[in-house]
Amino acid sequence: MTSHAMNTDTFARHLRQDGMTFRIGPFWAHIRSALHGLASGLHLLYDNNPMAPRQPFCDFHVTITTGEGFHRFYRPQARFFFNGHMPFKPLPLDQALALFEWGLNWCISSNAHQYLILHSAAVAKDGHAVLLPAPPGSGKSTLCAALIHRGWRLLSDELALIDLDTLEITPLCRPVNLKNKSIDIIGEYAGNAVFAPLAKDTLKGTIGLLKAPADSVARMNEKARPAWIVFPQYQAGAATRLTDRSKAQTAMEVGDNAFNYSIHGVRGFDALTRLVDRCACYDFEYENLDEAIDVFSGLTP
Amino acid sequence: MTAAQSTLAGSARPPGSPVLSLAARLLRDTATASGMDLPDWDLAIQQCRRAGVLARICHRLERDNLLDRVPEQPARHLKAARTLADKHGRDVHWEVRCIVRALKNVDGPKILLKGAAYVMTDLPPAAGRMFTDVDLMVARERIEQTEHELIRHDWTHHEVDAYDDIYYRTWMHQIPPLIHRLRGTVIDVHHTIVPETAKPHVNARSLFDAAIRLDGYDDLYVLTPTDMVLHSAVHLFNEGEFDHGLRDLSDLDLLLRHFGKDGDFWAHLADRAAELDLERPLFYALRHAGRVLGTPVPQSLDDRLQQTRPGPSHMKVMDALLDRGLRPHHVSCDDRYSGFARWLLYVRAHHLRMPFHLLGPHLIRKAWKKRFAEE
Amino acid sequence: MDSATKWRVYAPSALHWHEWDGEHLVYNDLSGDTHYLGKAAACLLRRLQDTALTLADLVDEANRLAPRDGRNWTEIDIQDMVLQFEGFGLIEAAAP
Repeated sequence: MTSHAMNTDTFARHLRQDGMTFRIGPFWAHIRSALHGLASGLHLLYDNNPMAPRQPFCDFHVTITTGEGFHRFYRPQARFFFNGHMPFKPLPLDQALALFEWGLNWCISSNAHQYLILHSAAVAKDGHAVLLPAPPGSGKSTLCAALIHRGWRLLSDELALIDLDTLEITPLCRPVNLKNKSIDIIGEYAGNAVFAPLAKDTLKGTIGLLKAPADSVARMNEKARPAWIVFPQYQAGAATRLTDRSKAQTAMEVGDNAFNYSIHGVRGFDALTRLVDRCACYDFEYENLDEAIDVFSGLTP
Repeated sequence: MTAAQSTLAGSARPPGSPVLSLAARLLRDTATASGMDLPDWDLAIQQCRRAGVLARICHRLERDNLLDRVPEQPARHLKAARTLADKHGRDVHWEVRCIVRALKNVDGPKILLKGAAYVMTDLPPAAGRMFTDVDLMVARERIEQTEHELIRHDWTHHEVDAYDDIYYRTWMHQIPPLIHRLRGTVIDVHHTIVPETAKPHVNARSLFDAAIRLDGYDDLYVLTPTDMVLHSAVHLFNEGEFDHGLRDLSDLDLLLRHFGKDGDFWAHLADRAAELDLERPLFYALRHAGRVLGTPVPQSLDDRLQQTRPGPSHMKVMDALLDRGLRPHHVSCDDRYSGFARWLLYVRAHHLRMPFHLLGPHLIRKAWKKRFAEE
Repeated sequence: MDSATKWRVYAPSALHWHEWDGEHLVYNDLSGDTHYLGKAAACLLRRLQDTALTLADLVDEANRLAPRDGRNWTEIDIQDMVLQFEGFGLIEAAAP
């Protein structure tokens, strides 16, 4: 079932009592929280995902609580617990939803070593995927958000889950994390974009979580084969330009920015080099989103 | 806690025996796995992750040809943890090589302790063990030179405040941990296995004299089997760190089962415990390894340790504390006394480590720091 | 650096290679590190995988296998490379 069948209050009650279980990509996450703001945000962002009050097995058990002691009233906090343990410091209460997103990313990237996990966005068309690895500030998420509103399927915004043998990407299909100006840009660019309430004044500025398209969520079980690795760079005033990139340097950069490349040892090296081997590798400078989409439409595997 | 209810979680047990977590039952007997359904696994994975024994259980299930029968979802977590732990094992080998090279100008034996020793000698606790640091012991008169050489080779001190620095150097048996600037790895350098001020007065010289040299190295050593077990016992039962209590108890269980195959081992163990003033921690180690993990201990050794056994009421209290301390620190294993029990074990450990007149200010100082660290 | 010192790869079987158009990656399974090497560095490391060589040998090999336009490889260039290899734990001084 999905939470379409459940109104926000019922959903919030479940979340507060025994928690709710969500299907997120290949994982079942069990989330418990009494924070009402979090419940409405989750209900909005994840209502297309399969969910149920109970599940015989969950991959990750997460609890989000308010601060303790005087932090209940003074500068109220949200705290993230995984398996009863708090892996990072509390955040202000109004950032609870962003905390949940980061926290679950952390759970996945530090535990799901059945995958090679790249720090990269990934989108697909006709079963062929583009990886968009890039440091923050490169416009990776903006480009990803634009692509998924122009016919590309969202696989992931932050973590690309790569099968070490087949190299296929397993969709995670979480909300896209947009910051500051990108929120308005995508709001205008995609008329049907749905955002959770913005979290203002975070360490990273204003954060807007963009809901994953329903079609991408519905096809969460369909893996895709990587065909291109594109390093985007948003540049004000730049002409749209796609240029070839050294494969060896691409492999180094993708490996350096992976979450668990080194853990896999020689198997990781083998997977990484085969991945780069099979993909066309590019640098991509852009400012204008329509032109950028045109370039991506022209990619042939 | 979990979304569905585990049926195995609270099954019947003989009177007087401790409540066993699923994690403990899997460590005790891998066959437990065959009776587990998905909700049991849901709980077991959480407990094992918290206790740091996921990868170990994966290795043991695989050894017993049971891994293929674990349902796919939990099996993924077991294997993922094993992948990470195997990487830790490779890293320990490399780290030891780097340490040996850095210390080539430091004369005299360097003794690897605990996890690194298990890995370098391929003892059963090595499989699936995770590491946060490498523990090394050098003679007290070499400690300054060792620190100096490590710093010269890119290790650096964690940021410790002046108080902690003095605490480490004066009251503990080590210098503050050093972290490698590039690899991010941590080394703890010791010159004995219990603090100077501590109640058992261990003669470090005798540990060095008995140590065994590793093949292929000039002056890299590990402790003898008996000393390894005694160190593991004193570390677990006197240091008050029970975060990975079950994992550490399982180390002891595996060492005892492995070394115990040699019939003379047990008599040597008792002699050595008496010699090093470590009979009490050995008593607790054997008692609780037996209670929780079913470690077999010969009657003869049991008899010899009777004199060191605490009185009946003391024993009852210690059982209650340690039964709780040694469970995974997961909500499914806690009862209303768990937090209090852990706190008492912590205070007890500090009492064993320091004379009482020093203990008061230290604990207050720690609580004070913790309070402000959270602001 | 002693000119008589012979260098060799520390654990030849631990190195895994991949090449794209004259650019090389080498993965060292002992340290877990992946290194990016240009043509000359890759040629020399491969040679040291088979045999122990002095600095002077390595300069000759570099000029033979990966000649540069304009100017020859010198001991200073190659010494830098050797020190880097050693720092990464890829090579060690062979016992005399």
